[in-house]
Amino acid sequence: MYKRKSKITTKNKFIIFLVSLTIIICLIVSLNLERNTSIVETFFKDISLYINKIVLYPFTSFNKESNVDQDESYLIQKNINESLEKEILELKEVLQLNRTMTEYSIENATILLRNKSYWFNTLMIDKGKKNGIKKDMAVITSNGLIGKISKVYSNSSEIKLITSDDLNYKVSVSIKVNGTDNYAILNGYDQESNLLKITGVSKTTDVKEKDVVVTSGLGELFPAGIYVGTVEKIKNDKYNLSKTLYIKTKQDFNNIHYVSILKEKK
Amino acid sequence: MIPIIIIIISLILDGLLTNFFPFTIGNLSIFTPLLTIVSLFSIYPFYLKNSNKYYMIAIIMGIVYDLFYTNLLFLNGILFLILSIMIKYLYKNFEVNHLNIILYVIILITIYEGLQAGLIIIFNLVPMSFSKLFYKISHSLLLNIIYAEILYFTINHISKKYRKININ
Repeated sequence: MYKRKSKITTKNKFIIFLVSLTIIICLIVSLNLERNTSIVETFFKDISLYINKIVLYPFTSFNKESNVDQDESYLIQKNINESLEKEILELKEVLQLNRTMTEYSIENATILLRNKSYWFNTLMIDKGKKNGIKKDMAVITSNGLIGKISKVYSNSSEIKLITSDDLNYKVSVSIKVNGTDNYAILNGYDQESNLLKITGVSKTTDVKEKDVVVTSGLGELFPAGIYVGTVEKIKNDKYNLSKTLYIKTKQDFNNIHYVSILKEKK
Repeated sequence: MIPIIIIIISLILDGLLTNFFPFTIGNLSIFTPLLTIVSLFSIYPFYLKNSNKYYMIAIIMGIVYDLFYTNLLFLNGILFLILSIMIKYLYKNFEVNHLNIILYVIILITIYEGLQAGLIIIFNLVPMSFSKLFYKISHSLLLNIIYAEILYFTINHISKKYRKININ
């Protein structure tokens, strides 16, 4: 009886090797989150954002039909007014914020897209290199710090939110206890309680619930004094040597539309 | 032309819905969309005789998906290729009907999320656990199963070609 032998020729082996190597190289390039963006990637990214802008336009802009009967469109008009009022309020808050941050120039931006790789918690905004945006700039809203710029393209940028659980993403913060600064590192996000985490706070630090957490300015990544949140929960570690603080932010991270990027004045 | 239109509409819908539902892990919507992957599954019958073209479309859509929505260049290109091989296997060896589609969507989403989580662990990017992965998968099922059923129903009715190759 004829038994078919599997034929893996040298040529096939070479092709398999090449394909595997290509896949590995692609994965290494792809998953290097700190990689610099190439000109080709920037070009295609900008094109994709323009397409996204066009696609999203009908959903983000308001009804511009003028010949609709007033009675029939009452509910639509009411909704539009409510949305506009909400938008004006949000923009006012951003403008108020602009007045308080005098030592930094501020670039306001609109959120274009949410990133679909949910694990990384990133957003795309409509300002990029052409607007003077640079990597690692702090991003804030009227509710305080929300993240930093992680990637910059010509006309858009990517914001990495502070809720990101990225192992390399740490923010130096200061906990205001009785008027004194206690420095710590904000290094994670508790997904069960939806609170930010500060680990390794000394057991002797007299932190209480509702104490305010702001950026410390150490590490030169974020300017000092930006509001982060308040202490919501305090837990001792299993050896009772240090405390873990859980921080509640004012910002609803699922509902961000406008942000401000802090640019250091020259 | 029909499969290309389906996959492009799915890609656009995917992005649109992501912007309207909660997207932070721990607070995800149960309607988390992965519609491009579902459409990749649904369009396979159009490429029964031309698998290479199907693989090519999967890779291109993966790269476009990365450019549009993830910034992880090539990752989804590779994942979509693996999924397309899996889809071909499912269509070749099992029956496809309204009921089985539910199971296939669950399998595909589990493989996609599982591979992504595996790579995140290998490259040590984000702390990952089985419970987080399960949470992500469970929140991605409902909308995608509904979408798969709608696509199956629609394609079955609009395309004679699809009807010919369908076993049912």
